[in-house]
Amino acid sequence: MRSRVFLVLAALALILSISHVQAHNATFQATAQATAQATPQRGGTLNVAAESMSNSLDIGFWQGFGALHVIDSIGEGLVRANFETGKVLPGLAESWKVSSDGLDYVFNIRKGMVFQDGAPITAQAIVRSMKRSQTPKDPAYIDGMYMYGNQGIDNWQSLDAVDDNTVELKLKKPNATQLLVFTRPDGYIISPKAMDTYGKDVGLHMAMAGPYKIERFVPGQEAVLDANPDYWAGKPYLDKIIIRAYPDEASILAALQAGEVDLTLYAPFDSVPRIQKDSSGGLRIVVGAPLVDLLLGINVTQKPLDNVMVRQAINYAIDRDAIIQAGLAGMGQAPASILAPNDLGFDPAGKTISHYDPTKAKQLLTQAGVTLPIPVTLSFENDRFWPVLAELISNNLNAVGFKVTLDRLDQGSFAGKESAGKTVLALDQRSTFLPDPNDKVLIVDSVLSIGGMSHPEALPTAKQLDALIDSGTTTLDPAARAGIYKQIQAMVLDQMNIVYLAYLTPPIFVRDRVQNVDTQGTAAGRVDFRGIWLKQ
Amino acid sequence: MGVYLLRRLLWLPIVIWAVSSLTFFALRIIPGNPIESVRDQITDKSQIARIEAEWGLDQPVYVQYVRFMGDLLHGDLGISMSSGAPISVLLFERIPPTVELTFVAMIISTTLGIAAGVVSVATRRRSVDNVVRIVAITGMSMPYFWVAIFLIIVFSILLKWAPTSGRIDASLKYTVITNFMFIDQVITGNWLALGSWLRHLVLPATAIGITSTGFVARLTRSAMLEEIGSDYVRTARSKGLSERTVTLRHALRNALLPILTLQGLQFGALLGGAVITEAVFAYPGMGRLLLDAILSRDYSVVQAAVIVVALAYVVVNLLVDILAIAVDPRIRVN
Amino acid sequence: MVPIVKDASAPLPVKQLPINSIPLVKRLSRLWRKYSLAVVGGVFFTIVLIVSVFAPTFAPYDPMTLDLKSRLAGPSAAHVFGTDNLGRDVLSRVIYGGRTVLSGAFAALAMSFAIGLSIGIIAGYKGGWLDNLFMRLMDILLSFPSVLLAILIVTSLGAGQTNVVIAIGIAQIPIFARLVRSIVLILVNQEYVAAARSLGARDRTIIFSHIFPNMIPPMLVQATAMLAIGIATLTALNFLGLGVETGTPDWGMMVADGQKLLFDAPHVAFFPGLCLVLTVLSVNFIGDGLRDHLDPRLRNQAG
Repeated sequence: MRSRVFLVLAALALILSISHVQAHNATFQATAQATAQATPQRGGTLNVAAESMSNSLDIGFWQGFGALHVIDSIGEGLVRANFETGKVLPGLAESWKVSSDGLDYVFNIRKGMVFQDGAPITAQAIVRSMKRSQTPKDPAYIDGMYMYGNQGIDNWQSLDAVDDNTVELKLKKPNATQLLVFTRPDGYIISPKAMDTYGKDVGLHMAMAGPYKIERFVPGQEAVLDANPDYWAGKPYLDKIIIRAYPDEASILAALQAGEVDLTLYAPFDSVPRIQKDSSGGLRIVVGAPLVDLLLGINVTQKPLDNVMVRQAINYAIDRDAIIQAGLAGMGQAPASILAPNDLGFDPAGKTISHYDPTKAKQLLTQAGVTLPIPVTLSFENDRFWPVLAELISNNLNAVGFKVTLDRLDQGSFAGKESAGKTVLALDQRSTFLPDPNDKVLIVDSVLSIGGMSHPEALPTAKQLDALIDSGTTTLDPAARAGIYKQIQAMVLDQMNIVYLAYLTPPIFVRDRVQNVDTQGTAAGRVDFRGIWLKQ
Repeated sequence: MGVYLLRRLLWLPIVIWAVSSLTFFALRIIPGNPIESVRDQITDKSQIARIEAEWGLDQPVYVQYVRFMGDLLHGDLGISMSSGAPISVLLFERIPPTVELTFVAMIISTTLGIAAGVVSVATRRRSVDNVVRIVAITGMSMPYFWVAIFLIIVFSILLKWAPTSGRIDASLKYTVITNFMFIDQVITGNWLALGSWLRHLVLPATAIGITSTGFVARLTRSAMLEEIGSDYVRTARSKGLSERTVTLRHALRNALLPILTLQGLQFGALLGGAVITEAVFAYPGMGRLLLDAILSRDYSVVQAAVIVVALAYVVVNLLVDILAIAVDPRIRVN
Repeated sequence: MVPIVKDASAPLPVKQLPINSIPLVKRLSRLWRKYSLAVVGGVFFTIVLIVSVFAPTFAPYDPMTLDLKSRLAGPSAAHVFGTDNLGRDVLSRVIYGGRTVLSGAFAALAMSFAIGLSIGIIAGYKGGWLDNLFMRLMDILLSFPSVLLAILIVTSLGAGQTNVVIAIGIAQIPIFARLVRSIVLILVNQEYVAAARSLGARDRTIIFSHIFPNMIPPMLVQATAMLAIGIATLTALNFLGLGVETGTPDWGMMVADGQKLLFDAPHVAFFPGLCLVLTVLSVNFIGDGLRDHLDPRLRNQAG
């Protein structure tokens, strides 16, 4: 008798503890929040949860968003970007002049600035840092710093320090994105003192010029940042930022619910409706702009995926609505193609093609004359919403005549396999890393993405597309550029080597006391911690 | 006894060799190319070269084996396939936390388990005995991940008594000497760090310890009963209290030896439980290192971690056996 | 190596129940008082077993069918255990999950039992260098904590349900082997075996008619313990993502998937977890009852 009673009690306890959570949330009434713009207060520690933390903060080869958050906090480049307007703002350079032909840039560096380790910020230091990947003799040179390739270095004629406070860059061909690429992490300037002291290990001891500096960096785990009082724009509001990597969404959710995390982009999306409904839990959701494209890359060198009809069939087989509702908890928009609503040259017409029509998909497969079922492997990262998306897409494709094998991979293996071009179908995302469409279209550039996820070099339109992409950067007039990007979109839709699944409007999970979280850059993963302050 | 001891000690290096070899060969029959993802991840070419030399399939297996054994004898465990970091550094970071975790779990399970067993035997009421038995079996039946999740919900999120993850508060400053928190923070007198460390340790250690507690309780009870005779205590109301206490104490002493032996074997279960518990608590120990390495196909780390953990288990069991014989030389062994 | 029984020469008693004068009701109530736990466990486990075997009959829905319109629905008349994040019926997935888990655990048990039994008998009966060899091999396997050994084997063979079962099976072999061997050693030394041998009885006869019957009780107890551990290890490995494929119903994997929904849809993780705990509990109750009944002195396995 006692034994049975005990069993019932134990089960009851378990049920009670779980229902208590639900009751807790339902009892309180949702209170309206005072969102009046208040005066920023100083002080406090911000706890940020990230999905990973790479083993090095070296801007030449970091990985994952955790490292990105850290680097964006501690680094500063010549200029900064306003994600909303797309305008270039002063950074280490207080002003600059660009020649009318777009080949000559002169930057005036602010006087009297210092790096986080005390070394003075001079034009010479800046040039040395920017030329790091081209200078094998530099103690901090590492063979394989592929991130620097994003700086447009191949197009540089010369980069010199004219005097202590002036940097001059001469280009071979005009580049409409040159200023904006300086806002990438690979454009941040590293202290020459750190480069001399630490050489190849400078990634473990990053000293740069940004608003926060590293107090402690534990590779693969966390970074503790202190406010930098010498930051040129003034000491930022927060005393400390702790950016910690969590192994999965479940632990981020637990930490969020326990009050241990103040800001994160990586909590489970399924929690969004609950948090939005009940603001008494101390959390709120800030919905980000649609700056992240979710896509499916198709390897066009794999038969029968080399047949464009088969690829189009894949496109029509996928139910984007289901993906957005069931996989993203509604946090997404129906896509057109390679560019999103905020991008220059966005053409909404693509939405009529990127949509669900399984009948058409089956017709296309019949027309293509391929033997069914078509075996394919779908590779994806084993975290966040990717497994659910993979299951949904697998269901969709199986329904029209494919036979999908799911290939779950960890972040590192996935990145490796994808960039080595060994995937057949791959799920990935592309963020608006900077407010310019060129970054996004590089995914279909046959030279820069050669052998990558979709093998764009194998498409018959490769040369044509490359020429278009190139002209997109060499054309300086925005209206003309818009026209070019419209054409690129049309070509991508035509070739369908990348199928677009959704524009993600990422939910940003924020604790009540955290103020002034912007919805633009943050949505793309480029959190600007300068503006954030904590209500005491 | 001396001969037995000598035999066990001589056996130890052979076991070390056997464990390492078994691990080596187990990881070399992996289907596909084990270093496929490495080439695409590491950017430092010298590191790639090293890993390819150790894992490259172009060389005959015995050549790799000789190299592996040679490295092992020098204490060189290689470098991580996914980051290129030397594995000895990783072990320095990850072994102490797991040692601390299993140690505290052992303390919890031993004290609670013995207490429960004693209560079960000493009580005059059969119902109490039954309740303790049921609790013990329930403890043994709870899967590690279930207990871990339950503890987090109740104690971290609802009650906010302990943190949900990690080893120590990230905002605290503390020095690292041996990387054993208890030693380092006591030496430097950093009581804040010590407190934070304990608060982080409590839940994961309990999660692992609960299962063991059940085993210890059951064993304590049955070992004591074997000595006393199951109805003796309950029927001996006529005997004085002091005599009863003496009998119980004697019975407990009798139980200590099998408990000791049990804990040696339970240590292996604790290590296995650590893999799961560290995953749920995001605790930076060997268990998580091993799990992350498996999921990211970092076979160098898997190899080193398995060898280290297995060896720890072997050594602990050896120590336990030596202790057991030291305590009671009458034990005859097969 | 663990120092085992203290006194190796006494024969193992076999319990006898009085068969004649006590009325049935009184006998049953006495049994119930003594073995209530085991009976509860037995009944529950039998139910789980039946439901798992006849899963298609008991499961109201197909466990793999998606129904995105009713995703994350709480328990209701249509879905007794609610639905998961893809709209799949949780009750059906729990039932089929039980099938996955139990079939896997039994398969591992059968494998380790069969192999361990053979090794133990050969080693114990034949003795000599064969005994030495086998026991050394078993010692090496026992040098690994069983979860670790299972993880190593899964890493080397690759993920997937079959490999996990093989891994757990291999990890459990040495325990059976050693148990069998120690029992065989005891039995072999008994007079009637020596007598039978001297009369020219064949080894096989001796093994089957004398050794086997006396081995069954302790083996049963050990088997229930191993089954419980097998279920726990199998679900743990699936929880960690090392086993079944995404989407296959399994209690461990369902708890893992439901972990991040605990505050929004706790039923997704709760029901599979509860079934898992209760199943392991019932097996342990059965084992405990068996242990009590068969021989209270038999304490040579480690818990």
